[in-house]
Amino acid sequence: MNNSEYKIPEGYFTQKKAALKQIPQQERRIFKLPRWQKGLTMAASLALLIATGIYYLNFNSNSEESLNKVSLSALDEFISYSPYSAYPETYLYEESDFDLEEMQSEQLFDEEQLDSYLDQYSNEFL
Amino acid sequence: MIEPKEWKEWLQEKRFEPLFNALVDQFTEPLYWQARKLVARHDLADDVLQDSFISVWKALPNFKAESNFYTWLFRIVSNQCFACLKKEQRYTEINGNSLASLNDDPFFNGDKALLDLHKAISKLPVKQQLVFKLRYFEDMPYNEMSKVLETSEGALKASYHHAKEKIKKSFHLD
Repeated sequence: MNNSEYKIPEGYFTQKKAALKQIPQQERRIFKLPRWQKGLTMAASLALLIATGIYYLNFNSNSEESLNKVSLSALDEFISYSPYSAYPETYLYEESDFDLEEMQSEQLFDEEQLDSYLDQYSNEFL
Repeated sequence: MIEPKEWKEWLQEKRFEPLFNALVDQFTEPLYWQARKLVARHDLADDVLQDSFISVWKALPNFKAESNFYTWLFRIVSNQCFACLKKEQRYTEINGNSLASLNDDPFFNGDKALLDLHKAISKLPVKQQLVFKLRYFEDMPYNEMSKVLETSEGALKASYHHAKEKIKKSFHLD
């Protein structure tokens, strides 16, 4: 094998040498922090994050100021809304209305019906 | 090649930049051709050369000058070539075609026989590729190759033998 089989662009070595000599400057530009400075930077970042978090939480927990920002009509609407009013009968039962022991002892489901239900729906996702 | 005495003095005095520039001036061409013969394509050899000199600059403060500078630099270039060929081989395994085919290299002027030889070599394991190319194209003695690749001469001879047999088989010469 000789180099005639492998050509190079004209002036390649002159340009390449000049480019390679730039490596020390380029590598110096990549600023590397010593290990202790890295730790210090991380600690400072963490402290700043915590301070920001505390300030933010304090600002938001100022309820008087927050309440002032909420429109009164929206507040009225929120207070007057009760989930119980949507389905009143659901919430009118009390624990004494159910005989829990009886419910536990008797068979609540017909096994055949349960099997057919499971057969029908369990295959939908297979 | 006899290396200038002042290089070691510069190294001891930690004058890395003039030393680095001297290495660039002295070794860019021979290292490029070494890389070119190992990776074949101009663009790959160019990348290898760039990455090698970046490694040289980073490693220069830790170089103990136990070997001469050229051996050390050539070892770095060989390692970069190894990484480059490994990447190329992995790409070919995954995608079925070569990342950088020699066919598409505008700076390759070889005939079909050389192209076929490179194709056959590229199918060898990467370490065997390096050994075969250094021995076949460069006629590098095993003792010198042993220093560069940090492998025993016996292992290199065995590697070259296996590589040669596989290449003969691929050309149906066995």
